[in-house]
Amino acid sequence: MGVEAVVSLRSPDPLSGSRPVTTALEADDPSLVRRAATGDVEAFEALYRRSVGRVFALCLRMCGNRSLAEDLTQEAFVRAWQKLPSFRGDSAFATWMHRLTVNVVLGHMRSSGRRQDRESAAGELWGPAESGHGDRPGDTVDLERAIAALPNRAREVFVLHDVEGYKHAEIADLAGMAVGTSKAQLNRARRLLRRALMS
Amino acid sequence: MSTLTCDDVMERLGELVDGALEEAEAASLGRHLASCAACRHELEAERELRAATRALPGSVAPARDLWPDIADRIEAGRVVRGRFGWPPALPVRRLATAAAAAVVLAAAVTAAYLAGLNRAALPVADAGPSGPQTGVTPAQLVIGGDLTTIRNDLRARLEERRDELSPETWSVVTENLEVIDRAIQRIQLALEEHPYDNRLNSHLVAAYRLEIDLLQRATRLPAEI
Repeated sequence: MGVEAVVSLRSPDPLSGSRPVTTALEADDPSLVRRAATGDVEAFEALYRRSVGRVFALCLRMCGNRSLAEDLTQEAFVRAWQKLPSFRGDSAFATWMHRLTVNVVLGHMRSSGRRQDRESAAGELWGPAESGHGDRPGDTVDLERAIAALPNRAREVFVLHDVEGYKHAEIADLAGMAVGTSKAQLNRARRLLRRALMS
Repeated sequence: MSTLTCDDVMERLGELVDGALEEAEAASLGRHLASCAACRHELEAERELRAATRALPGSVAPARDLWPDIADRIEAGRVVRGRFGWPPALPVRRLATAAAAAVVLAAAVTAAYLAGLNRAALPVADAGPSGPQTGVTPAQLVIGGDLTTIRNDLRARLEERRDELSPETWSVVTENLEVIDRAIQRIQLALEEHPYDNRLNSHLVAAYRLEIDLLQRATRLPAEI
C-alpha cells in the first residue's frame, strides 16, 4: 500500500475546505505530529504510512508471529494516537514511535506469558508472502526464520541489541531483567543463530 | 595465564568481534583460535551472522493494509469513550470554540465520575462543589508558565498514584485528560493564527483551569486498590 492508495482512499473534496491529502503526504513529521495531536486523522494516517514498515518489522521480529505482529502493530498505532497529545517532541516521532512499539510488544509478551510459550513455527513468519520480495537475498530470509525460531527472551534481546542497536542497560530497563541476563541471552541467541545458519 | 577452553571462547566471541575485549584477553583468545579449528569456524560464523544482521531490511510491509482497522479503533474510541471529533472543514477559531466546549464536557464527565467515587468512599468528605475548586489563585492562573508547571506537577503526582487507582478510574481520568490536551493544542493552534483574540485566550486559560481542577480531584481520590 503506497501513496497512491492513500490518495484513492481520501480524495480531497475541493468544496469541503478540508486539508488536501497531498498536504499531509508532503508535510514533515513535526507538523504532522502537531496536527495529529489535535485530532487530525489524515495527518496521523500519513504518519502511519511513513512508519508502518519499520514498526511492523520490529513487531514481527520481536514476537516471531505474523498475525500477532499485525495485532501489535495496530495496538502500537492506536496507543500512539492516544498518547500523541503528551508527546513533547523531545525526540523525533520515529524514535518515540519505536520506543512505544517496543513497550507494546514487551508488555504483551509479559502479560500473555508468551515468553515461555512459543506458539509459532518459523515458517509462519517468513512464508511465501514475505519471501516473495524480489530484492531480498535468500540468506536474509534464512536469518529471519532463524530469529523467529529463537526462544522468546533470546529473540527479544537479539532483536533489540543486534538489529535495533539498543544497549544492554536499556534492554534491561525495558524488559525488566538484569544487565547480565541481557548479555547472557544475547550470547545464547548468537550461538543458536550461528548453529542455524551453519546447518 | 590460565588456558582458555572452547566454552570460554564462545562466551567472548561476540565481544571479540565487537573489539570490546582488553588487549591481553583478546591476545589470549587469539592464541586459542590459532590452535583450534572449531573455534575459528565459530568466529567466522559469528562474523557472517553480523554481516547478515546488518543486511536485514529495516522495513517490512505487512501482508495487508492495517490502517482501516486502526482508523476504526480510533473512531470507536472517540465515540465510546467520549472523545470528540474535529470536523476538518471548520475554520480554526470555530474549532477552538468546539475544543473549549469539549474541555468543559470532558471535565464535567470526569468530575461527576470522581465525585461519585468520593461519595462512595467518603460520604462526608466531598458532597460535590457547585463549581470548579482549583485550589489555584487567580494570580497563578494568569501566568502561563505557572499554569503549565502546576499542571505538570499534578500529572506527575497522578502518575505516582496509578497503582492505587482502579483501571476504570485510571481510564476515565486519562482519556478525558487526553481530550483536554487535544483541545488545548487546538486552541493554541488557533492562537498562533489569531494571537490577539481575547476569546481564544480565555478559552485557553479556562481549559488549563479545568484540567488542573480535574487533576487535583484525581490526585485527592482515596486509594481504590
